[in-house]
Amino acid sequence: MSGRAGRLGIPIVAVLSIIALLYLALHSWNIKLTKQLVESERKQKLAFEKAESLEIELRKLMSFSRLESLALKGEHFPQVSPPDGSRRSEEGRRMPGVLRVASDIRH
Amino acid sequence: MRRRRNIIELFLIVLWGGILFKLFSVQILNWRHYQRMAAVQHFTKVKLLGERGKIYDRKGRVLALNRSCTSIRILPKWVRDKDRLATLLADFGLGTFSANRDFLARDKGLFLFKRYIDYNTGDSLRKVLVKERFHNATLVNDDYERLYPYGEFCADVVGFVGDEGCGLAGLEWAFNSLLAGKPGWVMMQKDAIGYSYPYPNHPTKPPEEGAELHLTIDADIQQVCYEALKKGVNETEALRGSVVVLDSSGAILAIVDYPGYDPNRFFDYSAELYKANAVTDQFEPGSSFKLVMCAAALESADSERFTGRVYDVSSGFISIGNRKIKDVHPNGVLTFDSVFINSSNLGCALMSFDMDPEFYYSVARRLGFGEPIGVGLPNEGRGKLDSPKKLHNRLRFATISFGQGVTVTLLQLAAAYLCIARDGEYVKPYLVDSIKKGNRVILKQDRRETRQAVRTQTAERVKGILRRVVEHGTGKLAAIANVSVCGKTGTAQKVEPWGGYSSVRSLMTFIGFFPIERPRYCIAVLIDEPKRARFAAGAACPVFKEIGERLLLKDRIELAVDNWAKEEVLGKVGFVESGEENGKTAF
Repeated sequence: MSGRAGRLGIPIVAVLSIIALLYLALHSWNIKLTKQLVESERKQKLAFEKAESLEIELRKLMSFSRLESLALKGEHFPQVSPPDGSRRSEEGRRMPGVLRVASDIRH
Repeated sequence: MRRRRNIIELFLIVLWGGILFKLFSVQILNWRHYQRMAAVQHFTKVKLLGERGKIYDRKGRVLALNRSCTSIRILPKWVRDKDRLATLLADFGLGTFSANRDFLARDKGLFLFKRYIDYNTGDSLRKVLVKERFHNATLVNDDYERLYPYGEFCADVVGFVGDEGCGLAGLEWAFNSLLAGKPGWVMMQKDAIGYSYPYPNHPTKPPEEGAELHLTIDADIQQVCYEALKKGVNETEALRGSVVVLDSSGAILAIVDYPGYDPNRFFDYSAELYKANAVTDQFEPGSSFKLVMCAAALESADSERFTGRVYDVSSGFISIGNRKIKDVHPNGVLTFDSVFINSSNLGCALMSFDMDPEFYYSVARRLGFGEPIGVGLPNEGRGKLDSPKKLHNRLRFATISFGQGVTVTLLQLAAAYLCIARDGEYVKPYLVDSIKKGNRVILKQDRRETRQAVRTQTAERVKGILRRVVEHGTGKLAAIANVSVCGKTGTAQKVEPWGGYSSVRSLMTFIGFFPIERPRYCIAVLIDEPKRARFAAGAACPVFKEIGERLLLKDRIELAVDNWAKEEVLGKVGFVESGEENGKTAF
């Protein structure tokens, strides 16, 4: 191999090697990003499911049977209960708001 | 020397020629084959599960949903250190060490070790198994678990899915093809050891989610009915009971059986409990079927023939051929209305002698008897209604007139009473309000098919009679304070396996609606073989009353909560004074 050919060959090999290395780096970065994407999708799904479970629990807490027992006690629903039970508790005041929060989490 | 050099050159030419030929063969001639082989070695398609559609009640509460979870499969013959794996599994709360050790020693081939493992636990376990180099002998898969938050309250309607994700009962079975999602896939690449990595451009076929079912039932009402029915069945020591609640539009608000089952643990219960008895079981209704005779008599062209006379049933029995028909309670001379208010079998039998069988049959059919309603639940009963030809037999017609020799479902009875409540307009009860898939609405029940089954005047007169049944007749125990209730009791003797009617085993019903001015709820209650009650008045009426009272309370509470919410929101922004809003509350 002549000296001239050697001088020309080395940079070509170097450039090709750099291109190959860049491609490998890009490839591995791409895989890393895809992994992160899959992981974040999974986390989002689990968070959605968690929010859904919380909403179900809240709806159960807001269910008729619980409201019924509160109404029968006459503490939280003065409109439903006898006239003397006119006191309204803080817990009762918050209830519709709690459902709104659950709905916000979901959407 | 030259000769040796020629040999080497020839050898190299042949060698390079062979290599070039092989390259040509691989790259040009057989590239498809090698590409396929490489793909098998480098890539793997991972199945993505299509999520099963959810089921909602009328208020958007989820009755059936999916939870992400994992399942683990093990191939014991490839496990290097069985003690270590057994310990790892036990550390993650999956069985005990000794039990796991036994499993691993007993089974050789791939087996399903555990399903429905909490997703986070399964994911952590997956990482540990890879780290501990058990990944070739274990397989931790993503999975879905079907959950039913309202458990036994809604089990009869919703049903459940089996281990393979296929519906096995209720709507889960009936709508399985719509609810089931379609699986997708994602392409992954494998390295030499077998680890999977995502492919850079992530080729994916997304899974298709199943359709969502939106039902007409109300989970609160299901619970109310279940609790009242449970109390009624236990207090009367009955075999079982069923309740159906319809609203004035024909929407089914509740279908409940007791004893029920928990769909989350369906395998712990007898398969007998899986069906919705109110829809599938056909029974002889007894006196609650007298509604048909009442409507037919009033609807007939010569209704005066029935309403303008009295019925002398003071003898307590009448003979038809060699058979005797009796009344349970002695009655004297009855008017048309009091035949039904006192629930006289003899009175109805006497009416049947003057009734045209064809006409009676047509009224019964118009009221929905003798054909399935088609609500969508599996194995719906159609009931048995004899043809007009058979009704020409006097004895047969006489017994059918008071509800013996004819079979119905509880839902059919409820629909017939709802028809009277709606001033004679029959509407088929429905359970599925809408089916949605993504943004597409597949079905929406916005226009219900109705028919005028009986005239409005007939319905008005029947309503009056049914009201007096509750005020003064056999249905007194169903009365609700300050509400006008209409209804009819039915106590039907059950057929013995060897023929004839039992003197001790009865099936009791009460079907009614309220308030008479603007009917809102139609409730049908069935109690099977109560030991502590002889008549429907003592068995079914108290259940009806309790359900009715609680439904009215529910309406009042919902109105109160609505007003309350308005007050919270509007009051804060200064639109409404709280006192003003309270003044609008209709209590």
